[in-house]
Amino acid sequence: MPGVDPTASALLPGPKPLRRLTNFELKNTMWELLAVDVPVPETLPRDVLSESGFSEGSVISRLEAEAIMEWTGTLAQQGVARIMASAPCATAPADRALQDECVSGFISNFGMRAFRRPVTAAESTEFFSYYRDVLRTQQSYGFEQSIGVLAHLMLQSPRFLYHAGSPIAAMGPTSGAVRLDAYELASRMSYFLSGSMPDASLFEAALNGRLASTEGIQQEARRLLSDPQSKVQIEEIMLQWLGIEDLRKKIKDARYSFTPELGQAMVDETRRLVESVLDGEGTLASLLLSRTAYVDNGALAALYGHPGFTGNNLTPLQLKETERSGILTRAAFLTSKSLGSELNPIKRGLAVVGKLLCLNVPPPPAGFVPPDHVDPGLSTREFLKRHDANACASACHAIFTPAGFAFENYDGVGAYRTVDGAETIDASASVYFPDGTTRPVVNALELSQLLAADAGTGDCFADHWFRRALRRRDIPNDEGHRREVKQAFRGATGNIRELMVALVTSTAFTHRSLESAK
Amino acid sequence: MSKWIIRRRDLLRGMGAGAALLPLLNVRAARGQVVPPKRVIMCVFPNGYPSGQYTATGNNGAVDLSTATFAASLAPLSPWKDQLAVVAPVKCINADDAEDYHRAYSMMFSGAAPVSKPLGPSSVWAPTGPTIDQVIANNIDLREKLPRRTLPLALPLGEPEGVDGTLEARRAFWAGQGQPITPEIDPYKLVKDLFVGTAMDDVALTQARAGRRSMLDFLGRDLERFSAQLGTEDQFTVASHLQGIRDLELQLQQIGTGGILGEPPTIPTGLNIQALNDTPALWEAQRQILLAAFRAGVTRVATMQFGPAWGDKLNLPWLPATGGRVWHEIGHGPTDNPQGQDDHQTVVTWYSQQFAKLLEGLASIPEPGPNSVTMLDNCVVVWASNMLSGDHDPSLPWILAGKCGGYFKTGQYLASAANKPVNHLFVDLAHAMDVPLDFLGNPDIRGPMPGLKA
Repeated sequence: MPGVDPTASALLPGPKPLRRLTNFELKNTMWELLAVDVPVPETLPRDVLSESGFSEGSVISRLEAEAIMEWTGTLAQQGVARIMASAPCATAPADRALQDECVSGFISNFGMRAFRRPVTAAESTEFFSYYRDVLRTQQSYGFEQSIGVLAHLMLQSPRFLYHAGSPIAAMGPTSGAVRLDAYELASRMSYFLSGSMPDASLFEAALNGRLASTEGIQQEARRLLSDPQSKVQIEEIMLQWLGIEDLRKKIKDARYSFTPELGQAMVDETRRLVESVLDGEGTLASLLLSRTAYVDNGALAALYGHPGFTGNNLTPLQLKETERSGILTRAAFLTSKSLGSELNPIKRGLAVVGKLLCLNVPPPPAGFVPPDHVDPGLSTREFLKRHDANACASACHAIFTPAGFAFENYDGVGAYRTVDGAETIDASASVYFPDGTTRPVVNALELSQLLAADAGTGDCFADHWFRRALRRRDIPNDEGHRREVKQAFRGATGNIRELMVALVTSTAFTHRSLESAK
Repeated sequence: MSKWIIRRRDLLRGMGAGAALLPLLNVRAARGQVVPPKRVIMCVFPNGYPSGQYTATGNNGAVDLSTATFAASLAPLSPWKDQLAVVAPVKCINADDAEDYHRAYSMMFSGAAPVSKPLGPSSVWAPTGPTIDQVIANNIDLREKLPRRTLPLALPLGEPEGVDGTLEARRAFWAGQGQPITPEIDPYKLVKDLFVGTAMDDVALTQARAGRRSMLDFLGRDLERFSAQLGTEDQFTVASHLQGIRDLELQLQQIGTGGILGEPPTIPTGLNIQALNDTPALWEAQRQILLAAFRAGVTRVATMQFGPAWGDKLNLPWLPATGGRVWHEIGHGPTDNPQGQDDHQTVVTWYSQQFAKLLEGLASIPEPGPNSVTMLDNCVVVWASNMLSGDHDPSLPWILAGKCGGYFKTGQYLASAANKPVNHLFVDLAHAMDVPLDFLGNPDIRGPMPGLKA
């Protein structure tokens, strides 16, 4: 059991709030654990936006508990082969004592993986007595079926469903900070870096004390980040960071001929962009500048100015230098950040200001009324200019609308355009940066270049990923830890994987305060 | 009975509910005659009424609705005037510090202080105590075991993204701090759960039920042990989970061997809970389920969310006049859109029609008793929105319908309630449901709303 760490306590790491596995993590974990590839059922509500700015699983109430009970019951049947592989005996030994021994072995083996840490003696006793009850009350159950019921039960245990720590002594310390024990740290690393439970090597590293040192953590983190599974996880985080939606369900004006398939293709293309960046330089700058696209949808290729493109998503398509540059000029971002009424600059500007510049936009004043309709006779810029003449709107919009104007070359689904209504597009803008400077840009391409070259963008990016890694909002004590992470990210010239390595070695990640604990 | 059920009662303590949650005397036995049970339905829709349309002519105090004229978006309720208590806009004082009353969505049924959160574009507010439906249901649960404590329903809430992506924007009803109640949308699942039996023979069924029961019992105890190692905030999360397990166990205990509780309603096939266009048909199915569940005694408390706190990812394709615009934009009305007022009126008129249909359904079920002819007489329906108008007017338009066994004075517009805290209405709702309560959420605001009781 970890004791209070005086050195770390002085560094003031924050709390580690209890989170349940997200639906994405549940699916991945079931694959690791049972070798069954099944989607999370529709009956389990979708993940929701948490205070970290990233998704978390919905709180479990009746509906979730029932959905999980039914789903895990099915999985325990489908995954019976893998489940039985955790039992030290393949069939039931005739001898009762040997049979009990086998079941105890199963509880330890399967529990170790399901709970991502060794099962305690008390837990083992509880599960074993449940097994005895099953044998007594369900006479028709065979040995295998009884083990299956145990697995079903363990998959509904809070130790499986939540990112829980190791048990803390009831009479233990209540203030200061503790280092996460090796298994808890391994889980935290694995779910952040790979979106799933620790693999065998990481469990071994935890067991052998290799996660006790920064070097050991770095080594394991880099190993996990070299696995393709981590790319999928990084794609997920990227989409959530920018607030890129499930575009299959996006509601668009009829004139765009927007279809769920096109929406899906847009999101897929941005995922492939992230993947290709990770396969190449792996930096934030290349994410903001890359013109390489992988497209397997004719409508999307046409939208990018390549009608008749018949390639697949294995063939890189070079997008036009004069039209595209990186993730902010791709269809998925541009379509997500548009309103039904096509007042695009507001959402796009807010995204740049919030997700890349980390500027604080003051909340709208009392009595604030957002505009909600474009007069068809006016260009968007002209409409917003009139709206901004409203004194209460101008203060807020002075910060974020200009950044959005830089994207005026893209319509509501991200197609490139040079006229809006009757007017020639003017995508020039003066963008306010956190260092207090206001910088003129001619369009989103130039804005992307400025952002890619500015160290402040990396700092902002690191702040968002810090919240994601810790799965909570900021607290004042995080400041020092965040500074260190940003420094490391700068030192690694904006390499995204190295940012993740810096995050998992931060004291804010390896430790937690006890204030929120009992 | 397992230990942890008592533990759940412990959890109810200190949640901001005043007065001991003790069972009342059995009314039926005391009067020596059949008294139909009382029931409450709480409905919420976002973005309020078109500006100036939530009114009834009159001065201070009560206004006789029979002589009043409703504005267009309330007009569908005109035939029900004698059953309504239209409460002048009240305040959700604990949401007054929020950016706007979208945040009242998660706050307004509890009256409790918000969990401390920083303000910002994506900030949201969650209550620190339970909502009134839960308080009433828990009290009923102490005196009468029903298959469901509550029946929480909702129509499709749109994608969980942007401002409508948070739990606080998607959950209006809470068992307590950190314990949002997830509503059910799927009518087929509801029918299966609530009414339909199973093909299993008696022996297999009994065994399956025994297995399920012992599993739930184990999980309940397991969650308790797990919770004991956690800090207070995390314990709220587990308390929600524990309540969920407990509710499943309750249902299992109460459903008869055949699993059939009553006559299930007929639901048309092919409804898609993801398709916004199916919203009216989904609601009709849920309305039928709700009525059948009440009739069968499945529960006494139901909730219904017609939308999330903003409606930013919802359009209303079944109302083509709204032109595919999203609900939140429509709610802001005519400020920048000359058609806005009409669109908002179109939407809210539709909502009022659904309210009328619900009343129609309740009034179609005979339920004779000392204070009743139909089920509606033994019900109270709360028809609530989180803001007076879609332009963030910071007050709550709440209409009550039904006399709830003779408790409410209906047929009135209660002008004197204007700007009083909504908390008083919780006390009325509790008393109407025979639940002793002095206050909910805020001990400084006690007692019922003057003028509401008959």
